[in-house]
Amino acid sequence: MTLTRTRPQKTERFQNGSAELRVSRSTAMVTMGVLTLAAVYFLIPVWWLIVSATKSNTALFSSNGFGFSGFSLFDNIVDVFTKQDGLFGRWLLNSVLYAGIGGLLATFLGVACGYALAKYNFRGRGVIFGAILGGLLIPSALLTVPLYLMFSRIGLVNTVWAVLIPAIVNPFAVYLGRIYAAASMPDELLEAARLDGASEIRIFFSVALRLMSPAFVTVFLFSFVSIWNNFFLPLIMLSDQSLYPVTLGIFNWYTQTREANYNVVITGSLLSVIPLVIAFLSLQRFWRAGLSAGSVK
Amino acid sequence: MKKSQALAGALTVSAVLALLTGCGAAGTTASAGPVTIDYMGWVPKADKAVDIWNKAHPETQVKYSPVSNGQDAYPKIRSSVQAGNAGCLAQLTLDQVPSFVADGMLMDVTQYTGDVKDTFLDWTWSQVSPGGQTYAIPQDTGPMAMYYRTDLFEKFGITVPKTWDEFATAAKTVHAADPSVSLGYLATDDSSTVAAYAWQRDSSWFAIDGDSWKVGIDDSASAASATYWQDLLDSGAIATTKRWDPGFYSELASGKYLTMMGGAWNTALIEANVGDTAGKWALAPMPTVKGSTASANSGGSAVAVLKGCKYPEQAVAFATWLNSSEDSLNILSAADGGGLYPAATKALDYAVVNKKDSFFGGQNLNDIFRESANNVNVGWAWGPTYSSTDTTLTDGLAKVATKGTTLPALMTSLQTSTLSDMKGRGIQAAASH
Repeated sequence: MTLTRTRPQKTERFQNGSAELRVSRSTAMVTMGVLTLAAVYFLIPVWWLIVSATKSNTALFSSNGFGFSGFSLFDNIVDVFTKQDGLFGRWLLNSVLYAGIGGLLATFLGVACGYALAKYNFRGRGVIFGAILGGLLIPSALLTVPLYLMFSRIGLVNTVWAVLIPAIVNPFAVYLGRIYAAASMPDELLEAARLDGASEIRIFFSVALRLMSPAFVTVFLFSFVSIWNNFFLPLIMLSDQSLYPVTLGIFNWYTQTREANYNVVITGSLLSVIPLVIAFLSLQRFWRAGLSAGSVK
Repeated sequence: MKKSQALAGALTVSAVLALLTGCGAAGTTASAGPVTIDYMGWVPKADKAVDIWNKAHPETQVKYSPVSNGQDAYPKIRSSVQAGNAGCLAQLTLDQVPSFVADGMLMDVTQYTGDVKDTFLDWTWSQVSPGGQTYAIPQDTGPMAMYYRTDLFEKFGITVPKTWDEFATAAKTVHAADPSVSLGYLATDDSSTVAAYAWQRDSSWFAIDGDSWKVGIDDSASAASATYWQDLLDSGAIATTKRWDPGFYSELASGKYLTMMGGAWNTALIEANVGDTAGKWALAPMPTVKGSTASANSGGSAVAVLKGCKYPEQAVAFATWLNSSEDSLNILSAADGGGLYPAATKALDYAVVNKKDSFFGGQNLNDIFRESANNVNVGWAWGPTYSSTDTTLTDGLAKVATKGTTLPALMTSLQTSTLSDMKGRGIQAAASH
C-alpha cells in the first residue's frame, strides 16, 4: 500500500524537471499497480520455495504453504547433501560444468560468428544469417530426438559430450552476437586496425572481443541460464545418474514417490537456483549495458 | 500433469529409439576379477542393504541405481534392456512380470533357483514364474488393510465397517454430517487398488486355459466391484483423489479422509508424510464382501533378472539374500527404509515386521497384515499384455475422475481393448464368460 502511495509523488517531482516525461497521476498509479502485481506474482513462488525449504517432510503437508512451521532447513540441507552418498554435490558440479563450459564455448562461438556475419562481406551471408534465424524458430526440444539418434550411432549417448556438444551450438548467441557487433563497432575502427597492420585474428581478439565484452557477458548469461535449465536433453541423453545435471537429479528424486523425501526435493530445488542468482547478481551490470547497446542510434 | 505427460512421452520416445538403435551393443568380456551386478529399484534404503552385501561378498559387487516408482520406471528399464546396457536386476511390480516375459525382457533363471522356491509365499512364486519358468525373485507383497483415524471415527460416531455394505452406509453418515470430509476415496491414479477390489471379489482378469488365455476384466465379480465404487462416487459420499500426488498427504494430514485402503507398504509413507497425526491411527482388516473373508493384494514387487545379464547365478543369489535375509529386511522392512512387507515366508516372523507401532497406538500391524496375506485369493494371475492394459486402465481412471466415463463402462472397454491387444500380438485369447 505505502509503495503505491509514495511512488506517484516521486513522479510528480520528476514532472517539474522534465516536460517530456510528464505522466498523469492516474497513469503512474496504474503502472505502479500493474508492476506491483507482477512483482508479487513472480515472487510468490519464490517465497513459497524459501518457506517450504525450512520445513520437515511432515510439516510440509500439515501447515499453510506460505507460513513458517518449525525450522529444519539445516537438517534438510544435510539430507540433501548426504542422500545417495552426496550425489547432489556431484549434480551441482555437473550443472556448473555443462552450463559454465558449455556457456563459455557457446558464447565464444556465437560472438565470433556474429562478428563475422556483421563485419565481413561475403557471398551467402544473408542466406546463412537467415538459416540461423530459422534455427531460432525451431524449439530445441524438437531437435533432441534426432540428436539422440545421431549420438547413439557414434556412441556418445550417456556421456558428458551428449549434453555439452548440443549446448555449444546456440543460434540465439549468433543472432545477439551479430546485433552487438553491428551496433558497437564502427567499421572505421577496424579499418584503422587493418591499416596498422593487425591480422584479422588479432583484430578479433584485441579489438572486437574487447568492444563486445558487454555483449559477451549478456550472451553468456543467456546461454548459462538456458543450459542450466535444460531438462529434456539430459533426460533423453543420460542414464548414468552420476552424469545428471541438478535439474534432472532433483526430478529423479521427486519421482521416487515411495520415498518420503519431499523436503529434500524442495530444499534441493532452492539450493539449485542459488548459483543462478549469484551469476545474475555478479554479472548484472554487464547485462544491463548489453541490453541497451544498439537501442539508441 | 503436463510435466508427467511430457516425461512419459519422452520415455516412450527413448524406448522407441532404443528399439531402433539398440541392436548392436558391445559386450565386455567377463574377467576373472570381481563381477559387478547392476540393480535398478525404488526401495528407499536399498543402497544400505546393498552395502552390507558388498562388504560380505567382495567377489560379487552390486551397483544400485534408484529409479522412479513403478510405471514411470518401466519405459527406462525396457529401453535399457533393448539397448543392451541394462545390467542384471530390476525391480518390477508383480503385475508387470508376465508382460516383461512376453516381451522377451527377462531371463529364464529356473536352473539357478534350486530350492529358493520354498523360501517364498507360494502365490508370489507362481506370479514370478509365468508358464512354470522362473524369471524373478519375489520381494514384497501388499496385503491390504484399512488404515483409519480413530479420533475421527469417534467424532462422527461410526464403528469400524466390517463389510463393504457397512462401509457405504458409514460413508453416507459421515458425508451427511460434514460434506467437507469423507470416509474414503477412489484413487484415480492408482490402478492397482482398482484391480485389487476386483481381485478381492474373486474376479479373474486373466487365466490360462490350455494354450490360450481367458480374459475376464468385465466378469460379474469385476463388474460388481466397479458398480459398487461408481455408486459410492455418484452418491457424493466419497470423491476421487490422486494418491501419488503430494497433495494427497495434505488431504490426509487435514483429516479429509477417515480411512485409507492400502497395501502394507503404505505404513511407512503415512508415518513419514503425515507425522503430526501420530497416535490417531489404527489398522483394521479391509472390509469384505458379505459372507466372505477374502482380502486382496495391492502392489508388491519382484527383483527380476534382465535379459543380457552376464552373471545370472550371482544375481539370483543376491536377489534371494536381499529379499529374504534378516540383515537385508531389517533395512528394507523398517518403517524408515520402505516398510516392505516381505514375500519370504519366514520373514513374517522377523522382529522388524512385528514391531508394536506407537504411531498406530502400539498396535502390531502384522497381526492384521498376516491375516490379510493368508486370505488373498491365490488364483489371481496377471496377463502377458498387462503392461498395456494397466496403462489403458490408468488413462481410463483419469476420465472417471472427470466424469468422462464410469467404472463399469471402463471395465467393459478394457476387456475389449485387452482382447484385441492380445490377438494383435498373436496371443490366443478369449473372453472367460
